[in-house]
Amino acid sequence: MVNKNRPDLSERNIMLLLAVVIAAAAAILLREAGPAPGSVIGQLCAAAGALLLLAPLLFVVMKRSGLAKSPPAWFIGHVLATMLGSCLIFVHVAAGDWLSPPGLVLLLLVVLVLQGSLLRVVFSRGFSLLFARSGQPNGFSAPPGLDKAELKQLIEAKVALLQRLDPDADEALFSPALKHWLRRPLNSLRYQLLAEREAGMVGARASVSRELGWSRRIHMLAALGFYLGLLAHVIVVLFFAGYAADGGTIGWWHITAWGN
Amino acid sequence: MTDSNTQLALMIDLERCTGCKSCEAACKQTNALGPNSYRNRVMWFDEQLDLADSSLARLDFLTVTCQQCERPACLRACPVYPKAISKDAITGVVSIDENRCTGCGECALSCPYGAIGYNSEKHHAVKCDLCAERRARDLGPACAFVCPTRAISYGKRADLLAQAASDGREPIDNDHFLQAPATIYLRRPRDAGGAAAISAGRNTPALMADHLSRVSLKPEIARGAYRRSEKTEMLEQEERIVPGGCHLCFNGCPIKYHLRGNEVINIYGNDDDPQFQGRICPKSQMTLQMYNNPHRLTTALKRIGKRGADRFEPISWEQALSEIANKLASIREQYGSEALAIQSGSRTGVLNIIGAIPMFAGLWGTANVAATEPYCDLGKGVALSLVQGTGIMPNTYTEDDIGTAEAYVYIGDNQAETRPVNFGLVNDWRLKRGARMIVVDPRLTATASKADSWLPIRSGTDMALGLGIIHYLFSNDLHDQAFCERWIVGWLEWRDFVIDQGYDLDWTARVTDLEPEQIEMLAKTIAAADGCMIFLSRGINQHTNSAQTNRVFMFVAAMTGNWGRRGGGYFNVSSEMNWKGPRIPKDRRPWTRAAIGKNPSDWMTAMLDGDPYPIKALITSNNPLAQWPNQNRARRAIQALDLVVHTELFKNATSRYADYVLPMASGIEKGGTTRFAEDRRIVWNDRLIDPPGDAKSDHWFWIELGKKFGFDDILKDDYKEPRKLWDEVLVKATPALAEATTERLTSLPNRTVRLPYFEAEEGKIDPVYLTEAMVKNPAADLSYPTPSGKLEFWTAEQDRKFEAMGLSALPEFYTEADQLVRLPHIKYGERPVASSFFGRETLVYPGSIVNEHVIRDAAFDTELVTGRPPAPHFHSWTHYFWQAQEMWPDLFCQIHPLKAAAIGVADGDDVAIETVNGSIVARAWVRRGIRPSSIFVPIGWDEQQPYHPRSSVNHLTGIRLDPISQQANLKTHLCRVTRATT
Repeated sequence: MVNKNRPDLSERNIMLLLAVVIAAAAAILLREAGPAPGSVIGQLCAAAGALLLLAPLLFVVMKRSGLAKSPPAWFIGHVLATMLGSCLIFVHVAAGDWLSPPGLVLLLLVVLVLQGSLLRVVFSRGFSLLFARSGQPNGFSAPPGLDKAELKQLIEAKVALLQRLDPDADEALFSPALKHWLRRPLNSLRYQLLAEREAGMVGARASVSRELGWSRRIHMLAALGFYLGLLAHVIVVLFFAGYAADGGTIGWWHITAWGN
Repeated sequence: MTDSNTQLALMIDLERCTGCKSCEAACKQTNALGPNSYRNRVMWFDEQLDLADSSLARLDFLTVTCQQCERPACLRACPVYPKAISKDAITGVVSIDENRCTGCGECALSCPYGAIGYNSEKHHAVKCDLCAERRARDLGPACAFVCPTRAISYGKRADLLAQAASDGREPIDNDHFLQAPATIYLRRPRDAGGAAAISAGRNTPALMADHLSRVSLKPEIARGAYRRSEKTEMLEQEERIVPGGCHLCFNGCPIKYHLRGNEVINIYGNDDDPQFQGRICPKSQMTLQMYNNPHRLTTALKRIGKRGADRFEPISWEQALSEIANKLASIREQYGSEALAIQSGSRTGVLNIIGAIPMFAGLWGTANVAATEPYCDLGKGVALSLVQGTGIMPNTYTEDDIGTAEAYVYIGDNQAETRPVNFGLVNDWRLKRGARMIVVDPRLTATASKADSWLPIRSGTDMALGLGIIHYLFSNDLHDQAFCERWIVGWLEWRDFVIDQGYDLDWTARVTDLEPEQIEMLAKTIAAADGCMIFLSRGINQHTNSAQTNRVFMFVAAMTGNWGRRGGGYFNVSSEMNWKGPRIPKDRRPWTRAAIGKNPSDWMTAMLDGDPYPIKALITSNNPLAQWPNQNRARRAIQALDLVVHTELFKNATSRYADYVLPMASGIEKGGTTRFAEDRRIVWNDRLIDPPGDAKSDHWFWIELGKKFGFDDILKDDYKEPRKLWDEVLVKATPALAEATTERLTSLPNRTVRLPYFEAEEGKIDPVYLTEAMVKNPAADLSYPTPSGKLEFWTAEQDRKFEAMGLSALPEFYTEADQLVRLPHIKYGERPVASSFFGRETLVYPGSIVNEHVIRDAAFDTELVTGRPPAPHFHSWTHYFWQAQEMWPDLFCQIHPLKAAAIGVADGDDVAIETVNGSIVARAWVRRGIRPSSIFVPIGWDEQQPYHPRSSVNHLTGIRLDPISQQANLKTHLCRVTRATT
């Protein structure tokens, strides 16, 4: 099913956006005097930036929950929001101490922006070269070491587990969606592990470079790390403002000053 | 679980597939896929390289496409909910909803068959959905529709399995991953019962596997039908489907042009043609990329820099024509009208080769006019004229003719790659009837990969093989005595000569480097078969013994009764009817000096040294500076000219050396016929679309140039209309065309007429099944159009003709001087003489057969064989089609592992190849399907091509011509191969 109106960010536009972000970052970070992270401007930028940076999380939720009418549009949204959010975060951190613990969160953000762009612009070309495994179509021969009996057992285990996870579902076409993870997280995890094992047995990701095979998962892992770091940072500056100020003046809006 | 009675599937027959990639071409044009976006892909597998036994050499092909699995891993891997990939509960077809796909690539990573494609420009997965859009219109998948070999069939899976069972074919179990794939692969019968997997332990050439060679193919080069956004706009216009013929090569396959507005949106085979039924090769489909190509010439160009510097300025047509005319007039005044040479070729089309160009040349006064026959098949043409009195061949690719043969013998003919559709028919009949197939070729070609036996002959010694067969058949009384006595003149002279010369099995084996048992087997097969088709082609033609080798195999066919009958005969691409030149009043034909040779290679001395008289101007189409042998000399010759005009579609190596480069129209941009196919078909194309920019038809150019010299009363302005040029000039001049008027051609659903046309008065002279007709009705007094009315192999008159060229009408063996062993070859005379084989006075060098030791550098220890690349390519043209480049990107050199190991070369490395004439670099394709002492380098590349420029292999070839036919040896040279230093 094709549609000429399917939204997409071209490689050129992604590179253009990245260039804008880098230029903005350079302009912001290289300025001699910028707003302090806790200043009104700094804090507003942080709040707006953090909200924008929640868009990728929303993208994940939308595409896995069935709420997204157009997942590609949400993909674009997550890219644009991240790019813009990053610029705001750069304003927030411009006069800050990059070697402090929040610097790690910033580093993860930079990694995510660069790796995400790289993934879409460069690595995605690798996906098109996977066709026929370009010279190694071993899928048409029995791969060495593949135990069909073991594979059969594994599939049967999946079928049995699926009875508990989603009795109406067909194993042949099933993978856990957000609703499964929310309703039956343990069974979903068990099922996912079985699915991963099956994928490993049949050689998914085995015939491609690690960069290509794992880059999306690394991106997701980095994003998880970023969100955890962001959450920690928000909690610290809002509730443990005294700890964050480390004996100095608390110059930002906060809720409690624990940790003084 | 999908019901197998409703599950749709493809069934792919590995015995029928020849790796031509027509399915790939169909898929991309149908589904708007650009470079590196695949829904299917045909992979080649050579044998394992570390095996030493050459008898195990083999070549296989595998069409990788979606398996429409019952448990699709791709679907389960899709992280979107609801999933972007779905499986139809009834048909079982797994399809992608691109509107939901975010382009994460998980499906491509998860498919163990590697059958999920990806559009890296638009960032979404693509996969085979059995052409959902076509299925919605009750059409099957495009791949199955076009497949020239019918290797791909489509239908309900249960029906397909039932069909396979009834044909006694065994499906391969490739459900290694318990995904229950629906796509069926049929095992090759030679592997029946074995557990061998399709691709286990096999080697795909680096050339095909290497992504780096395709990085120059950027997604944005896809246009029109290959780009979804543009195609969607095109689809808004009303569709017109117009039949016509492919004008690219000489096979003239019937096709259907699907037009929207003034653009072609698809090109498929013509399913209304009873013979080809929609089968078509990839080239024909990829002409879509010729009509909408950013590299097309769109304006006249004038050189402003030094020749070869590639600096031009755009000028108007009027300026170009006026300046060319002035220059020509000046050359004529100084050197005579014959100082103009004209070369045309397949690209220019029959309307020009037989019509406009001879008219212009006749009125102008030059006999130095050539098309590409002296490089392709002139040896066959001369031999046919001598033996049979006409250049046409009787048999047809129909089930009741070639389909009835009991044996198919290919000698120097890689039909699977040069005429995939014809081979597809033959291979199908072979399988249905259990006929034998034997291929004689230095390489294990795609054709040989299907054969019962592959005979890896020493290049250039096929004449010896034919003589050995003749000797064996006579010695063992295996000839058809009755046929010989009734229909062959001179057979006794041949018999006695061959026996006296001692061309027995041992001699033949020594010369050909084959085993005596192999030669005996071949001879017995030909003699025993009730109908044996002997196919020859460029492997025979492109030699200095071209005419004689063709005569030898004509004799093999005739002496076994395989002439003028169904299912038996001699074939060699392509047929040539007795074309007559356009009518020009005598008083308008200036006296002209004799033609300098029949082969443009002969012109080089006239260009460089003015011998026997100067040639100072060349108007040429095609690509002489890739095509002519000895390119270093050819370039010096072209540099020496006062005027070079190049008329082409694309700037190529020749353009660079031209003074004027003129943009031409082609195919349906100008109208006209296809070439005359080997089985005597000719197909008409109307002018359907506008050419790009200021491009003009070739006949427009000749008519306009003629006007500058006052030729327009004969070469009329009216003839710019292709139908008029055909009907009023060509049809009137050549009586055999009487039944091929445009009125008749365009009234037929396949626009095709086979000539001679049999509703015409029967039995005049045309030798279509003449022997058969004569046997059935002796009273009809029918005869071949030879002086005796029979097939003539030796007559006193023939002997006089041969003697004038220093040879004999009897088949004395000789080969190329460039051989690793000492063998008889031609020594040329000092001065040219008038040829005794051409109607018009033509100066050629006679030769005599000598068996002298040839002194050469010992380092030239390898036989260089040249030939056509795989099916998607045809000469220079296809190198401007991005998809042909995607299929076969780079110039390659097939080399045996033993030779490769000796020089430290691995598959995919660059190798330098050097002969006494020049050197080039190509990528090594290490495979055991080639003689250990040979390498193979294909034609068609040049240094000016946009994607993978490489020097033409003709930098390596030399100029040695057949004294009889003037055919050039392009096939056999000695060379040195080394690992290229970067």
